[in-house]
Parts: sequence; structure tokens; C-alpha cells
Amino acid sequence: MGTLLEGIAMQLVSHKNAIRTTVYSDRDGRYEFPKLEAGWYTLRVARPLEYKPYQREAVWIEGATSLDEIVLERVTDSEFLPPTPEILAQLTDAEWLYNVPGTVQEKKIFSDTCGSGCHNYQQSLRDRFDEKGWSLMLDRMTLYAGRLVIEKNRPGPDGKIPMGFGLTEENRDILLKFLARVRGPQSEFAPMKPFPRPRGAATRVIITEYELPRFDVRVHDVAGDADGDIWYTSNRSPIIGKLDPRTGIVKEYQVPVTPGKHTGQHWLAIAKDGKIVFTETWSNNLGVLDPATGQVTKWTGTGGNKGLAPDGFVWGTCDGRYLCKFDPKVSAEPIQKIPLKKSQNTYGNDVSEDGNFFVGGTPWQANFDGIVWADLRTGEIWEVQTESGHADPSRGGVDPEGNGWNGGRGGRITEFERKTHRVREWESPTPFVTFYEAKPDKNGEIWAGAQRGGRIVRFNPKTDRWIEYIFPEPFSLDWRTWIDNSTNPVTAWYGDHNGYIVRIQPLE
Amino acid sequence: MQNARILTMILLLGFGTADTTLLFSAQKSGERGTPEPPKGNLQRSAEILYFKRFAESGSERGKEIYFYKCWVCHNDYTRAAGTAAPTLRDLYKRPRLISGQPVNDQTVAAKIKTGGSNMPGYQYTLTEQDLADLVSFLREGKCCWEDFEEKEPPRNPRYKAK
Repeated sequence: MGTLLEGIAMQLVSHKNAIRTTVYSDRDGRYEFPKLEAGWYTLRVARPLEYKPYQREAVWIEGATSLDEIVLERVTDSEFLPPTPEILAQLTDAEWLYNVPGTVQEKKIFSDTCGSGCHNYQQSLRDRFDEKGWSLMLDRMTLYAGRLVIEKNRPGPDGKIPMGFGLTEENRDILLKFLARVRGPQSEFAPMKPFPRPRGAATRVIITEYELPRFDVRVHDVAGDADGDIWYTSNRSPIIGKLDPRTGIVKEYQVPVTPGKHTGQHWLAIAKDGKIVFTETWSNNLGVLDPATGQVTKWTGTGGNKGLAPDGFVWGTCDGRYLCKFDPKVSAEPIQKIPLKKSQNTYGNDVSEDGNFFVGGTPWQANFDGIVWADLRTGEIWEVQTESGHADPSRGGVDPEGNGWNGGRGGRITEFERKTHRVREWESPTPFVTFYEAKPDKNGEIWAGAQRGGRIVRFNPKTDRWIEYIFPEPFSLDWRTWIDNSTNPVTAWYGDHNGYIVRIQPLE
Repeated sequence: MQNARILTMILLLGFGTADTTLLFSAQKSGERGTPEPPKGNLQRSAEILYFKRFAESGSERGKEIYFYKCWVCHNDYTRAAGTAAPTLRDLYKRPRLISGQPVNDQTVAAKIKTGGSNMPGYQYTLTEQDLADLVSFLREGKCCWEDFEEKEPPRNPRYKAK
């Protein structure tokens, strides 16, 4: 008789369509899969961490099927795990950063800087360079703009090239010394302690992962249509995809390439007429895809994140200091501009389902770390600073009461409270994760991909309760969570940067 | 060494959502066909973080290393914007490296290891196997990402839905 394990991720991988279904064992060590199509599956433990890998290549599932008891053997009796390639690959970025030596200040500067952009921590922390090498790396990553770091940032008034992500000279120096010390030429990893496995409510969830036809499409946004299909943009290729979750089949739509510009889209939303409205990141286009014909119309002049209102108009900040309205049927030129006083730009631009309210977060602006909230019916605008000044709020959404929610790259979730016009902040219970977005559901609960933490959080602001659903992969590069409010409980979806789509179905 | 056990049981758990309702095929017992278990490491992160999605070794693996480690500076877009890093397209068709050395596996690997005034040296980051795979990718003339893979991303062999 051994110990009954709670929070072990049990996964069935379909031999037919490669769909992966993961559930978690409860306090009695039991787990239950949902109804699955009869067929052959591979049964495995995902991210076994302190236990040796377990996998059964072929299990026939048909109706109610009982399986033999599984006995897992520990890798070590120590609570610290040997840093073998196999174990290191199972640890989340946040666990890596938690375990490497260094002060919390050093690690938070690393997180704020290297976690503000578009790669995982391990892409940095797996490297080893001398101080000169790390300095060159920091220059490349902070002095050049955007995810592709193709063009240098524009010089400031003093003629200097400003560093991105709000990085100061002082903090750059701290960051450089940290990296050169903990990931210098001779550095080695010590045994590592993983974060706790899920417990209680966090185990009552079904996670489904869908394969996509291609590698390196870099999924960015997802959204569901009226037929139950999930659409996604790819940030680095000329493909928009549509996933049928019932079969796992993906249909690809080609987006015409803009000559001389890197391919790839960013934001995506589905209009009432079923057309797909999207932006292209690197060619700065606003586009519309007609799913019936596959035809794409593109307008040059605005890209990035936008918000689609139910009347078909698109909202987002533009020209530095304006909240702007666009008509995607006509052009990328704004048809209305409302001046802003504090924010020079919002990263996220979201409109409430009823079209009445707008919310956007402003990250990295030295004199304003805050929220822009607008009543689109009256043009009333509130620009409110966060208390911490370090939330770096980005994308978000509006809850049923009109409150604006944003995920902050500084590891915080923010709320703009409509009635009081105040901004509140909550820090993640797990250290060193970053948020890019926060999405309210129909019940007023907030869902946010805890980037670099291998999890999505579900936060109830009425009870201050956090549930962290931990994924079967250590990744959670989630740029957009789409909530399906038609189910009870709600269902969350996101597309991982690493190239697969994830469905999260809580059981309560 | 301690063992621990999980009591396992697969039950049918009703959900009521459209896409989790039963999708039983018409397959009858006894017509199960042959299992076709997925190949490779099913922990995706182990393939992604060690650049093993395309191949275990060789130029296909080198392509993935190139994409993560080299492309960011050695691409046409950033070169057009002023980045000094030379293109690595047709590297092995050139008579010499910028340093004046002949172009061969040893000199290319040495350059990657030691870097230069604007390039970090990768000698502590890349393993000998990584270097060999990366060099074979460059030698076989499959560079560069923006010529091929950007517009036609590599197929994912794990995608099996039909």
C-alpha cells in the first residue's frame, strides 16, 4: 500500500486524431475521463516530475472501461529533483526562475523584461554566455522593436535609442550581472524544487489539446464561431485556421502576403455576419476574411490589438493619443478620434459584448501605468493609474457590470471599477508568472493565462478565490483566452504560442 | 525508494456540452484495428526545448536550431532595416568567410562558437551535436527561413485528424 496521489495529470492520446485529453487524480487517487470516442489510445502521466515516466502505448477505450492500478516510482527521495534534461523540460519557466540563484529583485527585473516579450524564460535561461555575450543579447532584445526585433527603436528626444519594456539603465545593469552570473560559461543547475501539484477544485477540470497541421505558426488569438468551430491567427505565417473540436480537423485559409513584410496576424474576432476580422502584425494591416469564399480584404494602416463592437465597428488607440473608431469594411483610417490625456497608447483594446464600454491597458509608459476605460455611448473617458505603477496592464475585457479587467505583464491582474472609477490590482499567487490578458466570463469570474507558469488562473473577485488549472505541458504562452459562455460551467480556450490549441473545461 | 499509486478507473462522465457528447463510431467490438501509437516524446516540451520536433539530429534539427538561435539577426527583414549580420544563404558557395578563412565545417562551427564584435559566442550554449546539426543545415543550402518555412510552415506529423 503506497500513498494515494492527488493532482497527477492522466492523459489519453487518441491514435485516430491525436487529440489529448487530460484529467487529474483526486484525493483518493481516482481519475475519470469524459466520454471519448471508442478506439485506441495511449495512456500516460503528463509532467510526472518527481515520478518516473509512465506510458501505456495502446489502451482500448470503449464505453466504461476500467484500467489497472498504476504504481508510480519516485525519481528520488529528495524533495529536490535532479536537473536532468528530462526533468528540466517538465518544469515551467516560473519554476526555473524560482530555482536559479539570485535575489527576488533580480528575478523580478528579469521577469518584467524578458517576460514582457514573446518568448519563454527558458529560451534565455537555457543559454550560457559570458558578460559580453549577454550584453549583446540584451541590446538586441531591448533596443529593437516588437516580437521579431527587426527594426531599432526610434531615438528619443535626447538622441538615444530607448530600451523597451520600461527597462532603465540601472535595471539593465542588474539584469546583465544576474544573467552573466547565473548563466555564465561555467554555471550549472542545482537540484530543483517544483511547485505544488493541483489540489481540490484545481483537479476538477478536463484539459483537451488539439494538434495543428503545421509547426511554428505561433498561434496568437482564438475565437469561437456560431457553429462551435475555433478560429485562430498565426503570428508568423500567412495562415488563418479553423479547428473543428468535434473531429480535430483544421481548415486553413491563406492570407495574401504583403511584399517585403514578414507574414503573420495578431488579433481576431468574429463579426455577427460570420466574417473574420483580424489584424496583421508586421505589415500593419486590418483585414476581413469571408469564410464562405476564403476571400481576404486588407487595409494598410493599422494593426495590433483591436476591439470589435456588435455594430461591426472596430475600436483601438491610434496616432499616439486618441481612442479611434474604424470601419473595417471601408479602410484602416479612423472615422472617429477621441483624445486621451495620459495614455500614449493602449496595448489591449477591448469592447464589451453590448458595445457600450471600452477598456485598454497601457504598459511600459514611464509616466502612466494604467487603464483607459471609455463609455462609448457618451465619449466619457477615464485614464487611471495603478497603485503599484508596475502592473504593465495589457489586454483584457469587460465584465457583465461594465468593469474593465486587464492582465498585466508585471504579474498582476487589474480591475477598473465602473462605479467608483478606481483601479484595483491583484498579484498572482504563483511567483514570476506574467499576464498578457484577463477575460471576464458571464458570471464575473476572471480567466487569465498565467504566462510562463504552465497554468490558467480563474479568479473570483467576489470571494478573492484563485483556482489555478495546471496544464499537462509546462507552457502557457496564451495571448488570448476565449470564453465560451454557452456552457455551464463556462469553457475557456486558448492557442499556445508553441503550436497547439487548448480547451479548459472546469467541472464546477 | 518510495512508490506511490493511483487508483485508476475510467468512467463515463456526462457533460452536456455539445462537443463532449458521445462520438462513438459504428465500430463494433472485435473490429478494433491495429493500434497506431504516436511516435516520439509525448511531452511536447521535451521536443520543443531540445529542438527535436523536426528530427532527432541532422540538418532538419539544425533548421530548428537556426530558427531559434540565428534567424533573429540573420534575416532579410532586419538586414534591410540596418542590422549588420550577413545573410547565411548560400554560405558554402562563398570562397571565404568575412574573416578571410575558407568556408568549411570547422571554420563555420568556430565562428558560431566564438562569435564576433556584434555576435555572442555560442560555445557555452550549443552542444557539439547542436553545432554539427546547425552546420549541416547551413552546408546543405537549406537556409533561410524566410525563403521557405515562413510562407509554407513545416507540416506537423502528429496532426492526424481527417
